[in-house]
Amino acid sequence: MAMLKTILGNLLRPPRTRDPADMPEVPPVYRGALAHDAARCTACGTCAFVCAPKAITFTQEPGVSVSWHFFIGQCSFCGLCAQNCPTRAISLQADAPGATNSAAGDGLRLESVIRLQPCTRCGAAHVPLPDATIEALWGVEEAERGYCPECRRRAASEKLRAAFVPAEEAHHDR
Amino acid sequence: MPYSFPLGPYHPALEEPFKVKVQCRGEVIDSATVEVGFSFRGIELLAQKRNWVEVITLIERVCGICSNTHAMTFCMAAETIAGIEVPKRAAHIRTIIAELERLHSHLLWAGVGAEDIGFHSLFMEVFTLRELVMDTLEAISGNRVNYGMNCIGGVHRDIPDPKRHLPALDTLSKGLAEIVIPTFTENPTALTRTRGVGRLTREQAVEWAVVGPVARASGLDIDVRKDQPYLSYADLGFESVVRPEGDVLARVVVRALEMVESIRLIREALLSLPAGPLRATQGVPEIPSGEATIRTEAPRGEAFYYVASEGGATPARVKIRTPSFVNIPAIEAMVVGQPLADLSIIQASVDPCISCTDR
Amino acid sequence: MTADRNRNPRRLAEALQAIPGVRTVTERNGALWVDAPLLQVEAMAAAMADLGIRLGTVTAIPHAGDAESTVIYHYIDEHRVINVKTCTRNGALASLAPTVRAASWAEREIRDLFAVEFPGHPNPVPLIRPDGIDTATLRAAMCRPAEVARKPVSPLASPSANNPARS
Repeated sequence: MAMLKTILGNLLRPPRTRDPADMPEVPPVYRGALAHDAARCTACGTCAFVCAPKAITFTQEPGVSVSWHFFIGQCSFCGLCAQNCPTRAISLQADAPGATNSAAGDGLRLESVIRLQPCTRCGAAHVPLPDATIEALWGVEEAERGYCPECRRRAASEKLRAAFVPAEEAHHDR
Repeated sequence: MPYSFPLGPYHPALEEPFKVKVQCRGEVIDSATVEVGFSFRGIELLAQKRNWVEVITLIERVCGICSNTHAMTFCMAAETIAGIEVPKRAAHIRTIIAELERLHSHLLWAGVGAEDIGFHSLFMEVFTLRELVMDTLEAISGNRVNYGMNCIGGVHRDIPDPKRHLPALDTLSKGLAEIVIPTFTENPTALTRTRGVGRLTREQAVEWAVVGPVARASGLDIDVRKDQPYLSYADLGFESVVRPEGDVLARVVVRALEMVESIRLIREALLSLPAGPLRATQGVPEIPSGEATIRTEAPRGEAFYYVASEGGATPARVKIRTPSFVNIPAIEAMVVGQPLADLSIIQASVDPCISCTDR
Repeated sequence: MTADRNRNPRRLAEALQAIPGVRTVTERNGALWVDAPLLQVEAMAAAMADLGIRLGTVTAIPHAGDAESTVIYHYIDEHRVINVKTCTRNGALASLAPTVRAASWAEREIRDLFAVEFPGHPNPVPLIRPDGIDTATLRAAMCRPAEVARKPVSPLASPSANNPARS
């Protein structure tokens, strides 16, 4: 009897199978395919440090460029690289990572080349910071724009010193 | 004529490799030997070669089902060594994820159990309900498995709109009360395959030192959430579920009623989510020298971690004792005198997690 | 139930102190730590059985310098963990498995991974280690110090290195 009731009930009800399109929306915190923005990357090494399966590595051509490498076969999609990136150069997309043959290469490995620039003061090769970052951190003084981090630190401390010690005294010291 | 019969390592019921070798006399099992070690990955060693950030991602992969338990227990051990107190909001979020994980694990088990006794429509019903839990976990954490929620000092992600998840819990409560629990406890097909089958007496449960639902189904009232409350369990209040029978049916009932209690805990935690920060620390964690032992109640029972630090960049030793490591040997006691055809459901009733056991 | 008898932590500490070989009993990080380099393990097992405390598991930590290992017996009385720390003698410790079921798999695993012998074990066959592999699968690797950076290192910091070293 119970079975008959179930059968009759089921005849009147719509099917419970879900459409392929009936998917829950992708949550904003979804951890999908990795994307890297070379213009924002400072090659600080944080992403490689937090990556447990070592899917992210760096290679470099000394004085010319640093390359950021990503191999999807090793990635565990924990999202720690994007979370810890200080300049938000890495982001996780809302789409699922392509298995093979995406438009950008074979889809399994990403490479992103960060060009180095010689310092306008000492000539040391360094990763140039994005313009907006330089403006926010050090102002817009044109001469210091192409400085390497070492020279910028030096310039900043000279400015600080100049602000504390009057010019004549400083001259006297020497 | 006595003969021996190997069940596994490639398994008819589970996707993981383990082997129960039974000695039979006719249809009846005389004795059994359990063999594990087919998916040993050396995680305890690898954990010593990873820094304190990476190691959490690694530990989360000890188990594919109770992944959060492992990451969370490890973080709790590191926090104990470093003397870090987790913010209240983070503790609540950890509790919610842990209980959601218990729901999805118990539902997975109920589905596998139904499949093992040949009850396919029940399997479908259970997995439909389980999908609700998976969707909730995905909405909160971004993933269906390996949620990546834990970090030393708190959690990575917030639950911005806690009330949003309540309707799914209501549907789940209804599904459990109307379909899953009545079918397992009243349907004659399910009862014949589970009642009085694979009994583990209270004395045997003590002797084999089993934990979790297996112990509670044999009348041992042990549950870390009650005996040594951690996270928010003391604030939320917790009732353990105990049955004295010790058979497969008792294990089913314990898990089913635990799901009801989990839904209550999640609802209460979502409604009383305290304001505050998600993390007590920033940046790369510094763990001083020290050692700690932490127990938590994973879906399968007590998970035990021993973590030692020498103040270095990596843990000095991580020992992982999963609940299955002590529950699986007890299969040897449960199958004696049982028909060979019941071997499948008896071993499944322990909810063995093999990669956990091998690590 | 026996566990109720142990609610008084001082009485428990006294009972632990009475086990032959025990040097100190201290409370740290929410657990009891018993230091006993020359512990008589069978006496400990008998005392714990008397107290009605179950064995959770056993941890071995191999020593880099010699063939010895630190062995920690983790007992659980449901409200706290009691860790009894001892040391192997000539790479061996008496087996608890004949009297304590829970010790059987734990001891077999330690024997597989760290070459600690447990004379008296009723079934000393490999648990984790596959056939044809020598004993002590993890011992040497675990003793090797990890070469892991403490902080993120920029690839530009060292001109030749492509990657921070990793063992």
